[in-house]
Amino acid sequence: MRSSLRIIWLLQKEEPLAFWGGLILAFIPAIAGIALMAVSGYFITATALAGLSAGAIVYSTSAASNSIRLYAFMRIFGRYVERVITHDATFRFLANLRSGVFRGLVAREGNGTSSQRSATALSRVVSDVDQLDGLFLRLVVPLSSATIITGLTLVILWDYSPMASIALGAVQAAGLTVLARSGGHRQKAQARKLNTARDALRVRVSDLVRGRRDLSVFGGLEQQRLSALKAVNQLDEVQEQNELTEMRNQAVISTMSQVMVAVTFLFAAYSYQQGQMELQHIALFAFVALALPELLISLANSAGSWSKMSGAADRVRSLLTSGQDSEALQSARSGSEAPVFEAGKDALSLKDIRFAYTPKAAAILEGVDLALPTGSRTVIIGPSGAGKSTLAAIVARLQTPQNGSVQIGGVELNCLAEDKLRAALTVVGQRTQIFHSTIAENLRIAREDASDADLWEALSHAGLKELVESRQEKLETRLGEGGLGLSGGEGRRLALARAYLRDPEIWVADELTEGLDHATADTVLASFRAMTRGKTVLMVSHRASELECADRVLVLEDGKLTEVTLPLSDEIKDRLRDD
Amino acid sequence: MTENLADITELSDEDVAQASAHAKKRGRKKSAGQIWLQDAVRPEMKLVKRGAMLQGISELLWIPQAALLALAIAGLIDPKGPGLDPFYATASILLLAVIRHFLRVKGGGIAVRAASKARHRLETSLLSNLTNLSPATELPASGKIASIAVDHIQAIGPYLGRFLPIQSRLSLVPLVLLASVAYVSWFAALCLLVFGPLVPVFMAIVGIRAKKASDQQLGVLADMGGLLLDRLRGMETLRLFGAVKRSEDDIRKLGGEFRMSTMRVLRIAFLSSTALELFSAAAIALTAIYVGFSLLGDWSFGTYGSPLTLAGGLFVLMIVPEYFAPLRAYAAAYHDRAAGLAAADHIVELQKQLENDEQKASVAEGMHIVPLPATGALTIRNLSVSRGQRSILTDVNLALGEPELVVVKGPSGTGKSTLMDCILGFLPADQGQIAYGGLPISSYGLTNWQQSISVLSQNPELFHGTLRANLRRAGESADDATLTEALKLAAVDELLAKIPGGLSGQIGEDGKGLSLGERRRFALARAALRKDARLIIADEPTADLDGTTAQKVVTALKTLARNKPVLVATHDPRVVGSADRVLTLKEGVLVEVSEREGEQQ
Repeated sequence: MRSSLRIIWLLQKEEPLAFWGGLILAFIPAIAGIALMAVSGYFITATALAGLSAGAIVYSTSAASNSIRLYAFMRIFGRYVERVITHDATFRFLANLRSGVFRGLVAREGNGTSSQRSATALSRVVSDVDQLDGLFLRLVVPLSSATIITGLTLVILWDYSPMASIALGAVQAAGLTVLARSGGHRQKAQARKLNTARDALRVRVSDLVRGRRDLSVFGGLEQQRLSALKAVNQLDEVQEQNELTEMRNQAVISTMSQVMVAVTFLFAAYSYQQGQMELQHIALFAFVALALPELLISLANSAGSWSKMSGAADRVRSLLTSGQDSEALQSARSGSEAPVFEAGKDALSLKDIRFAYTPKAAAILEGVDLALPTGSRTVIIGPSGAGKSTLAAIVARLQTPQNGSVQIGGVELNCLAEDKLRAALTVVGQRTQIFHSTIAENLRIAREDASDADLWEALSHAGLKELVESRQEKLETRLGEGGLGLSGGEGRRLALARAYLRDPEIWVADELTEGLDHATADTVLASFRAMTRGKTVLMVSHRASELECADRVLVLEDGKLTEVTLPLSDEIKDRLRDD
Repeated sequence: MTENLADITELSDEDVAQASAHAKKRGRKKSAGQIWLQDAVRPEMKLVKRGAMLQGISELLWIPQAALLALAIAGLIDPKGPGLDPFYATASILLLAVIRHFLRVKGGGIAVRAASKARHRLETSLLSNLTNLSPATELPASGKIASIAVDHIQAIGPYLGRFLPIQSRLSLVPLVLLASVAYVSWFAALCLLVFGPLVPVFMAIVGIRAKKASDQQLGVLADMGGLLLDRLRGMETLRLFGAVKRSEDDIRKLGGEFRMSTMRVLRIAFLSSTALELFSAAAIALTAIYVGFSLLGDWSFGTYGSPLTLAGGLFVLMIVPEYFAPLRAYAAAYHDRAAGLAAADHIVELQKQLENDEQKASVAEGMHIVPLPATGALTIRNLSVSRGQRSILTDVNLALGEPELVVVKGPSGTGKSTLMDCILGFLPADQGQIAYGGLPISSYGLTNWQQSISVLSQNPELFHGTLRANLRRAGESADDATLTEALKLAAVDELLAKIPGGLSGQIGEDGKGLSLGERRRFALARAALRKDARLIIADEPTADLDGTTAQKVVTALKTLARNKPVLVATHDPRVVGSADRVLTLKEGVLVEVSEREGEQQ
């Protein structure tokens, strides 16, 4: 709940006009709805009394029928304007929230606290944000109009009959209490259980589908089906419980509204018999009691989503906080010196690096020292899983070592401003991330203001010029799903073209030719060498072909780095892959 | 957001007109999903109808409640007219409220449970379909299927448990309420009769435009989530190129565009709910004014002879809002219908794919099953396989019986994997025969046959669970010492130190936490644990491994080949170099390259 409040507060701060304006506008149709019923009831009884007292008009009928028309009008158009304004505010807010959540996720990825990064987890975040639209529309607006209008009605009715007003207020308060439980701990735990059951089923079904080959051979197919079935049972049970609770809540509210009518009427009648109330106000009370629960019913319809929203708000808020922390860290770094690269000095140096994935796990890197003189080309080899890629990630500040220091161009990596770091160093690796947009947009991620000519130059250095020229849309060809599919080698080249647009001083290549066949690997390597001429290069590899042109070769094994002499001994060569 | 779009869809379909005015137009074409859905929920329809009936009766009990209240109020104002004691009236209303509550909860419970039952049945049948499928079938991505099981089938629940009961009440409740008003005043009933059906008509007029706009809108919404997901997946690249800030701006900008286009749709869509407000408020106002002037004696029409009484007037006024309530509920639940139908479309699509393949699988069943001999030889004779028009394997012959390491080499795409699939019985042969111990493999039962082979696939799957549980899938009774030995054989025993908890340590979905090389070697250990395997098949076992590790894997395969035949598809010269026999697959034809005897290091 605290997270929800916090996010509501943010909304209020970002869009104060729409927030308060929407709230106030929401009161108008709600009040008009109650007033319409109340005046109608009052009008009928007043006219009946007038009719009884034989023509003596005690009540201005035209005034009453005018106010009936006015309230009907307010009801109709107030509702329209209110909905337009509150929805607009919500969408404005969600757009901001989405980018804040994005910042938070990136920040978490950066400081290594992201525990899971599967597509499931990411799409969960996306749907979390979408769920929060209800926070304003289905929680703040109906709840505040319900409480404020109930209060207002009681104040007005108090003059006519305090006793009946108290009865009215008590039943309405009881209804609110029932609904408040929907946002309570039990419901929240239930929502969590639902999420867990969902995730379990998702994982089991995808295991079943992806692994059906291995499962049919190793005989786990039936077992897997049963375990998925168990998840189904659990999910259905929780879901059924949820739906039953929601249905019962709505039933309780509807019953309470009938109780409210009956009890209010009884007290009004009693007040009249005691001589404390005028006759024509009895119907007024009955009809207010008839209209007032409408507020509760609209709350009851949305109450089912509160516990879901509350869980989503918790997660979103913690991401927003991460985003703010990283913003603070970045602004603290922003004043750092720029790295300087001079011949004869080290462009990159690592001292006494220690790294482990979790505090408890064994260290992957222990006391690693490394210095790269400006303009040198260094290759690190080692068995798979030795920590070569981790080392590359540490240099690029994608991972943070537990101990030790990294300097880039004489500046401590910890203090280096993000933009200066990214201008000085780039990683090209085995994983190429291609975005669902055009080739030009994919390249301009590296340099926003690059001209078309720059893009073509980069593509030609990467050996992709012919391919792109052969497409009808040229640079505007779409990549990814439904667009041009790039092969492994082409993807690698696109990443190289991107990096070339940056033109950094230090190039880190993490298993650049991994997974490519021999011929393709050679051409990718040739492009890489051409692009990085005269730059400082650190390559991480286990392929013999990548070692050509290296000034220095180091072996990473058991967490330590050791330099080997060139030319390579047969023993070392044997450890490499030679295809 | 999806629930929000309810506002767009809730009132935006011409079906509103169709269902509520029950002018069931003919000739409207139903989508495949709609037809499937009707079929799929048929067993539960009876229950849903019963639930809806109980809820409907509960709603109709408002008529006596309103009558009691109206009489009691009238009795106080005009002691000479018909009246009721306030206390008795209140007590009766409360009693009726309790009955209504009971009926509503009972009816709602029946509907919710029926929905749960339908959901459960659909999920169970999806799971068994998936299990009975030939593994060689091409299916949509596993994530997509998982989301059908989790999200789409779940969406059928609210459709069945919430929307359908409201829909079936919609045709009954307003009519009875109308009749009760007509009993008091035909004029008031006439007003309602005109206004009631007008609501859906107006909604439909606005709705047709809104639907067009909202279809486009759904596309933008998908783009919105898609962009965020796309950028999140590539966030490492964005960080490396300092483009995080720019992506934030992009996301905000697209959010702004999304807002504007959504609002364009919503402004139209809200008009249709305004129509509902318009008619319900107008009906209340008109009734109140009509009743008022009748009581004053200014108007004297609309009743049957005797003038309208106060009790009658109050009664009519109390029924009017309830007359519009089912429509309001229908509009609110309309989102459930849209979600249910959309889900049905997805499910039907998958169902089609599954059905096609089940027919193939059922051909193999229904044969007499012979126990599998402990030893024997695998013989492939004149095997030909094609997919669609393309012929993949032509007249392949192969015999495997003695313990040896046999390599099939050839560039990728020449049918090595197809050959393995045929041996495993995942793919049926067009011509020729695959036999073991003289009998076709199908005579042992495909499942038995498959489970007598050890496989190391190209992309081995590890499962959510401990290392031990993963290994024991191949050797159920193996103790920890045997498991460790197998890991050593596959040169992957360092995992025991790397993964916290050793054999009891968890590996995640898709073998998360292991590199591809580790996964492959781990799968090799798993394959080695099946001691009674008649044959070991390995598909590209050394891909993505460094020299040292690849050599270890070759040694392990060599060790395994001492006891039973090992068939390897590869183009790694290291593996080819250690083979006892080398075959080449070229354009679907299998040719023996050379035959060598003896062990090699």
